Amino acid sequence: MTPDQIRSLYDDGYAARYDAWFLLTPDHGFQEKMRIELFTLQLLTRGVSAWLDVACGTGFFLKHGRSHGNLTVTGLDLSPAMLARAREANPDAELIEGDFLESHQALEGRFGLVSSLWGAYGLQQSLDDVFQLIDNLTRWTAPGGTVFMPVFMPERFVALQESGELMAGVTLDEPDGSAWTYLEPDGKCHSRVLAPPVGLLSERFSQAFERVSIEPYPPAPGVPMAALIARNRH
Amino acid sequence: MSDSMTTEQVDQLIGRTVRDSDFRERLLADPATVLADEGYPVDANVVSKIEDAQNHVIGAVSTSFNLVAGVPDDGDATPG
Repeated sequence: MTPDQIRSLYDDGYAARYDAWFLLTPDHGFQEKMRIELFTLQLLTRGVSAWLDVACGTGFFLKHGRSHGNLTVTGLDLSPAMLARAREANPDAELIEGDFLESHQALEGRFGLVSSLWGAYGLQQSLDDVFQLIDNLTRWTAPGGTVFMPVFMPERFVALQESGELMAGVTLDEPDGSAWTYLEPDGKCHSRVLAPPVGLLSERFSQAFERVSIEPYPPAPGVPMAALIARNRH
Repeated sequence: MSDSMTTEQVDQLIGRTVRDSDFRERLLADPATVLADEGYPVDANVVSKIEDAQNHVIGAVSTSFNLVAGVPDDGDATPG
């Protein structure tokens, strides 16, 4: 999707219902996913003084994922509507409107933890763009720091399709699950969301981090994901 | 006094809590006991963060549901 398409998708109405539809609902395993990610963030922000959440959306995770009060939090997002919500939720945060494929020199090497949640990388137009995002996340991470980026599991999309458990509105654009589309009941469309093989993403992080772990979330008939955690940036 | 957990042990713990729902629920309910039973050092700082995490999750869900329902946010994500 292009930046303009993403801004149009994540408009005021979408921002208003986002948390209820994609974070808090127990449907499709979404609430359990949110619980896993908040727990993980609470442990990963321990001992960290600065956290950057890329594609921070409504700022839900920036607000609730902090493990201590001395944490400096920064959010980056393309959507003005989502950032307006993030500002309400996190009045102390530095919130930046911008494209995460751009370099943002001021962010370079500043953060002990950099996160990017809910598969924002999948909204890019090519694998090269996804790699550009990974390289940016790496550059914005301080030496010794951590990246947390939950990733889609394409092979599980295929398994869910075969068992007839794909979430309503989701269709696979590629038979191997590496691209999919989500048409929401109100007509909003996440078109051709990229889900490259997890090994490719892990390998890219491995070039700059001491170790990369992949932990699949429990099976759920929603959007299958795994926690990718890259530790100790060189 | 408590033993410190290494980053690798914290990562093991995160990994297990991600993939194993039952373990996660037990850990959130009684972190010190579960860490000891599973052979991890009982790191007071980690126990505290796990307890905070549980409170934050409950608070986050509660607060956000209230916001969706139009109840004003009091700005505190933790219950009680």
